[in-house]
Amino acid sequence: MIVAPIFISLLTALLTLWNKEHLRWVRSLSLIGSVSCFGVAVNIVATVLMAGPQQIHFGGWPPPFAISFYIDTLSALLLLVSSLIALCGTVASIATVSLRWEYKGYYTLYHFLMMGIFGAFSTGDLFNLYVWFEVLLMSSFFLVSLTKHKTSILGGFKYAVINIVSSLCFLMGLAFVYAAVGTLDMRHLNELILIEGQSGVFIIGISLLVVAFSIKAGLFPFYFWLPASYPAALTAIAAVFSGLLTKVGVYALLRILIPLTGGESHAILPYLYFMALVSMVLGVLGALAQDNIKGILSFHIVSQVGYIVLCFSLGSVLGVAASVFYLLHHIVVKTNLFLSVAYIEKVGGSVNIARLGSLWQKDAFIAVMFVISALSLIGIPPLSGFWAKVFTLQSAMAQEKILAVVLCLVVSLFTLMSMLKIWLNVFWKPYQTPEPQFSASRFKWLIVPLVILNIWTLSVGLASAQVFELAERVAIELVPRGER
Amino acid sequence: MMSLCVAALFAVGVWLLLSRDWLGLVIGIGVLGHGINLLLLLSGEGETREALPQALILTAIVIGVGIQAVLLVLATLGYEFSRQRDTDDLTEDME
Repeated sequence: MIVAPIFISLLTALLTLWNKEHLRWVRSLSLIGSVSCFGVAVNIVATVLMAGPQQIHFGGWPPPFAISFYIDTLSALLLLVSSLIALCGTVASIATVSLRWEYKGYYTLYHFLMMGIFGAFSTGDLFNLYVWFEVLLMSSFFLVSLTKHKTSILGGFKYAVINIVSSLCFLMGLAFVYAAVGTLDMRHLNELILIEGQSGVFIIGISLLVVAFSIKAGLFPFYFWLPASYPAALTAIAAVFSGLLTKVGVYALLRILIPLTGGESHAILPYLYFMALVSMVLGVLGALAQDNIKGILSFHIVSQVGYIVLCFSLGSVLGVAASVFYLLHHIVVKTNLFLSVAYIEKVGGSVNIARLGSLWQKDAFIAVMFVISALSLIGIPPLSGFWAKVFTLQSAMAQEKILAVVLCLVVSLFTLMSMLKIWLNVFWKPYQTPEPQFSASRFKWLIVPLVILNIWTLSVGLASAQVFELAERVAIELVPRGER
Repeated sequence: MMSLCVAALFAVGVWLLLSRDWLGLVIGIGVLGHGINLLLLLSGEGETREALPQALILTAIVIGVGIQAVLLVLATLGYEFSRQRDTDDLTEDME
């Protein structure tokens, strides 16, 4: 049951390969696959909330030796959000991706990507996590460079090299961790560490893992690949990347570091705190300097990942809960902003703010959709972003981290400025854009994900107390008993 | 002896990785990958934990070959576009 999302994605990917000349078959299959993944994810969340963490062991071996899948509340919530994003991404791809790429196996790659993401969220074994990372990276390399323009190939190459270096780091860390503890099953590892303490070799291993995951999460000083590659991808796929790929890195950091708080590896958290602060500031400054909407939004990812890491680098239950809430808010809002860009790209014919304008008169719908997500990202009540920032500030205040509080507020202000830049130029400035040449009626389907994701932002904002309760439950599961 | 092998592979791998040539970079990643596979083998020494690293290395080798292929494809395409072997001269012209 809990591995169903992975198998459904695999099956969908293979079936789309089988009969790829028939676009209708491929598209409907893709949609059916995504919908059933979402359905299963809802079911998994319900099961985990009612009956506690679920697990499954492959290969008939007893627990520490078998390949285990383990889903607790954190994994279940992330599976839910990522399958929602996968569904919205599928609809958006059907609506916007040009026929050329659809015939060339776009959906196959897309579902392999999803398989990697679902796998990374549901595995309970470190080496298995490495394998899922590779699965999702392989498909994302091809998805970035799919269009074979100069920028997408070069962006794809940079993206590939830096991420492979991070994977090598990951593997090196695995070797050290295994040498120190003798197991790679995450829960077994945590139990052994609690009993035996953390040796020097183990700390080296964990540090290497932290470096690897920080590269994948796009933290300072490892974020340069991100704004170079995301804008080069097709907008529909950039939306899925922006929502999920860096967040897989953040999830891995949470998963590895937080259960070990209290031990010697606790000393890594202050470094992460520093890295998070710098990426918050540099990300938003980079966004201010961009003229390409996708570039601006890509830099925002760096800044927002900074917020998420900042929360859990505090190491407290409140901080971890805040970062989980932030994840649930951020994944959805970021994807929605990129999907708005996909819409703008079709209506206005460009993604450069200098060549866009007066969209407010032309298409009020997209203006409203964009404004809701943008305000949520900045942090305006009653949207989810406001509560995410409130909880962040609360957890920072609780430990009297004044610098963090000040920077959070200043960065929010700069985020507002860069969003204003998009708003004034794209929607407000009088400008004669060329008449849109829609070739396909399928384009109108893009409205569906935009509306769904905005409803999510609004409802998470309105039900913030209940969602935060869930996030606290996650935090209590993760933070070891002695540290609460 | 094994440790020396790992060290040598790491040195060569990192040196190639830092070279400015596309091909050097790709080969460097390959060599580094082999170094890390040996490191994994070393991590399982002693007691009864030798079996798992061998299984892990087998998987890692397969993944490594796949990655090499992907990188070579990207590098070839990139070379065709830019006519530039030197990674330092890649410009970032957005739009």
